Amino acid sequence: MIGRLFITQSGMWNPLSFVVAAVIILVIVYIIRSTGTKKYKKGTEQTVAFFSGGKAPEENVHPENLYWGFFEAMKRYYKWLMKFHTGIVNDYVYSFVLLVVVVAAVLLLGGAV
Amino acid sequence: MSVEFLIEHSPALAIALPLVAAFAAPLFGKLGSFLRNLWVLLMLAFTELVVLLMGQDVLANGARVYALGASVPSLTSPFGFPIRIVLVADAMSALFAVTAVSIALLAFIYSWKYMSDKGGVDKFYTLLLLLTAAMAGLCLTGDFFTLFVFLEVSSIASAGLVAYNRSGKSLEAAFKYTVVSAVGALFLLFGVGILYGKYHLLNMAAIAAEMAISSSFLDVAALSMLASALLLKSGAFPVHMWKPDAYQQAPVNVTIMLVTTALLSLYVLFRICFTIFVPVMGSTLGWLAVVLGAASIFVGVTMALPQKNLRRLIGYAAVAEVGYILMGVGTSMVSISRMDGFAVQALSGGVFHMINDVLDMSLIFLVAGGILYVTKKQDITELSGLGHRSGFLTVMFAIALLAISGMPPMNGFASKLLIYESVYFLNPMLAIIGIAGSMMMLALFVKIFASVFLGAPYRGIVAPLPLSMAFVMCVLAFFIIVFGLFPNVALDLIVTPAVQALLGKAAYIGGVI
Repeated sequence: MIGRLFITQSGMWNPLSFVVAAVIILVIVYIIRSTGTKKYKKGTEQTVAFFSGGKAPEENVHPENLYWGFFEAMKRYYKWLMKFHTGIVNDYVYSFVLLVVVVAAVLLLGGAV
Repeated sequence: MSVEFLIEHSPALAIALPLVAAFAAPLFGKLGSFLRNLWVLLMLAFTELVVLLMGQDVLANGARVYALGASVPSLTSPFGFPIRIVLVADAMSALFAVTAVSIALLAFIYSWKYMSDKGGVDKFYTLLLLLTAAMAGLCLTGDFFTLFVFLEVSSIASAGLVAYNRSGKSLEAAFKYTVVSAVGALFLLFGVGILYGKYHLLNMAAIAAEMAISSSFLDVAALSMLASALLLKSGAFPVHMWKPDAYQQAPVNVTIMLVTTALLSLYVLFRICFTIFVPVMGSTLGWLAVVLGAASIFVGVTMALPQKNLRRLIGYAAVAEVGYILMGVGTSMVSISRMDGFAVQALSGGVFHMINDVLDMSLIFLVAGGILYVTKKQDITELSGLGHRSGFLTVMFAIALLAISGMPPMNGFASKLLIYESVYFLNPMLAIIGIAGSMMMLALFVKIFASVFLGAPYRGIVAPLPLSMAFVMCVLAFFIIVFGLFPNVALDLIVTPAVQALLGKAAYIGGVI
């Protein structure tokens, strides 16, 4: 049953191929990992995390700023978006009234009746 | 009590059982927490059995109509038009009734230990069961006024549950939820009032039959209000702001109920659109749904990216997920007049994604609850390296993130594939937005995964995860993987019959009148 093709209107896919691919990738990962060495000395620089050649902070290097470049490029969009998300319930209701108007206008102007 | 009796009265029992259990729960609470929990568990398990029997029956024998108070339950129109409260169980409504009750049962099992050290648990379970009854009612109701009542019951119960922690922020979130729900319900009631004023009817099937003969501007006005109110409850753009507030502050076992309620609002919207408002909506409402869906995806994921609170972040991701459903079903609405293969596929993708979304979102919220339970922290900047201490949560989170991001071979991929392909034929740009949204969703959850689970081992205290909480996560993960590996089975057994029932307007009307 797992090998049964999932047929769509213009294509298909087979979950089995992805399971097989995942297994092959895991085996390759395991092989690469097994070629590693345990000949390191504990408590030396060999075990310190690499942090762009500089001294790593005591706490973990945190990925929270992973998309800093994305936010910087989208600064203007985010400025607008944050202005839209005020957290004030009055604005939530305004948005709803706006939606009612838009839905009614689209249905009427779209010539539904 | 025979199986035949249970099947015959299943639509009424699906609502009545959790309702009775809700009001009796505090009485059992007086006898002890174990007896109360046992009572709630047994009643929810019994309700689950009833809805499963109902589902099996409608798949085998077609839709079941139930008139409350009639001498014979199927006697809906003794005077030539439907009177009394009419419940309709077809493959579509039964599918969502089963989903709603199953999630309620899982939420309760998760709560057994999760809520054990908290106060006010009697009231909590009363509200949880009331919400379950309201959700079952929303799925099965065949008339507009009962729909309004169940929507109100669900709103009030949800608001009470959001406020459960009674902190300043949870009370604020509950207040916002109450205001937004009340305004939405008011507009819904206004829409129902317009229909009643025109047709002197509240029964959905009877109104559908009348509207097919004579539609007018009033029907469009009613549709505008009903659709807007239901979009508000579903948390689609631009009325999505209540969602991250409520999802962040509610206990996670409540949040999965809120996720399900939001999707049931979409079910109601699709039900009334495909069954009643076909003569007046044309293709314009479909286009509007597709555009709102695309906007929900983009705004949802971009707002989720900068969030630091795990549950708020998932709340915004839930907005994006609603966008995919709107996009899929909206595509089929655009082609409502001809319903070719792509339109049916779009509808199948949308309905399948509703089920998948409930599973994926529930799992990720419950993992977030697990993280909070074991570490007492939910800010992702305070967490790292948890993978070294809790392998189980790591695996569960990985399954959920792959599923939500639509990565093969998880269930999210199967439904999103159907949506992307159908939407592409409507407009390739929309498919690009959908795929880009999924990629951003993956980037978003990879960031959380790296923040919370990778890195040097977590140094804080990690409490053991209770078995009941782990069990619920395993059940959800099981269905996520099964629906991903066997999408044909899910489509053949549950989605296609549901889609056929939704498109079978004549059968629905004929069954009631």
